[in-house]
Amino acid sequence: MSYLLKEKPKKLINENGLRLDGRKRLELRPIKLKVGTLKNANGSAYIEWGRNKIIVAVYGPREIHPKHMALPTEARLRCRYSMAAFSTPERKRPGPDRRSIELSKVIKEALKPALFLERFPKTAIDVFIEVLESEGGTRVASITAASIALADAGIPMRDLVAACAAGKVDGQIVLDLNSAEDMYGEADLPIAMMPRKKEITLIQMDGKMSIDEFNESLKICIDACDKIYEVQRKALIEKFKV
Amino acid sequence: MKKLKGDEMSKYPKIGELVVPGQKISSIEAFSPGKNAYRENGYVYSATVGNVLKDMKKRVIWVYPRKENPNLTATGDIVIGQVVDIKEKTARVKIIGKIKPKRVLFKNTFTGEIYIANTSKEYVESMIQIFGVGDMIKCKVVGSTSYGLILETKGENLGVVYSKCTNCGASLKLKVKGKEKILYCYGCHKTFRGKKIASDYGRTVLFK
Repeated sequence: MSYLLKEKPKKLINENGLRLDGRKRLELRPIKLKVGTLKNANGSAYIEWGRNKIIVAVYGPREIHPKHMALPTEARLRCRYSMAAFSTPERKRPGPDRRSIELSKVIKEALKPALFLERFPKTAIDVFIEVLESEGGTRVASITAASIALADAGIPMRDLVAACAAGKVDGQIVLDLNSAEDMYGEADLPIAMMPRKKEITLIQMDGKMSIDEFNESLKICIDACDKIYEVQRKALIEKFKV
Repeated sequence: MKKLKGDEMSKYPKIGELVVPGQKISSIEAFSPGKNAYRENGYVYSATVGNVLKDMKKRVIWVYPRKENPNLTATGDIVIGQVVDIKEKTARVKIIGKIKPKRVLFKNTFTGEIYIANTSKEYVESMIQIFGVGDMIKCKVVGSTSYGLILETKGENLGVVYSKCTNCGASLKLKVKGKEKILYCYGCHKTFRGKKIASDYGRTVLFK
């Protein structure tokens, strides 16, 4: 499997235009979303995106501790991204590290514009993201699941947040990078957006791309986000239909 | 107000249809947004997962939520809490749920505070007289500060609804002697006087 590769393969895209996991250039990995998986959380979601397996719990709006963290005009959104020790091919030392802290911050900032935080002053909304298995693109999968968990918690939202990554591999623009493409590819561009409002809430880039390549990546990401939005919508309707 | 017809109307969800946050539910010319809906750029959108409902007389569109967040209190709600700390003039209460307008047990507790002036219509010399640590009290939310919710127990139906004996731990029973209400322990025969007791002491169904 691609995520078990320890050495760089000669080619990431073969002569037939297929990638290591058999996908075409602009093909997403299969996504499975489940809403309301945790009993004790206010809202929760479980996502399987390719081999990524992530569980998200949302608690709140609840009392904030320590009290001096309370904001007088809005709720404080707190986000914790954490990878399980068994989530990577080699054991990951548990606990927050530089990468987890950064991802917690960017995920929080990607979700924040979608929420009506001003309706819950002096409270906290906590989002806990637990990565059980990872295969590249965990931040976009986490954002996708977290926005569903927030909707499941009954927190008013402007829109759902869908996220997807594109990148450059073997000189070609590809959609939804897996771990090998992420590691050995030339560039990576994760994007989170509110599909209805067409507003981008997260954009990061790692590696080098020309302006044309960047524009093409952005375009395919936006198209993919629309598809992911449909998956999110279906998951919510599946949970709440009578 | 403009009334939408034909194709224009079919673009939007029908009454009772399940919508998700951010879904367009009407144009602003046809309906104004009500609860769980908001307006933006000339359209009305849903803010939560729920069913679309319309008030055709008032021309208001709103969304009936399929899952309401239970952890919220508003001014005027009647809540149930446990006294956790008493000072000379104030008492700190851990709020565990609300009983009005809807009976809900919170998943997370909130902190509230009662000031001595808000406890009773009569003169109260000390907070220790009227509440004890561990008492379950029914109170009204009157506001909020950065510390927590501001509570009030003025009124017949507000006050202590359940209390335990400080001596032996048995549940206290209500005894009415003339106009005076006292709490009596059948375990150790101790009497507690002067508490701010709610009219439905011992009969309040807290949470099922």
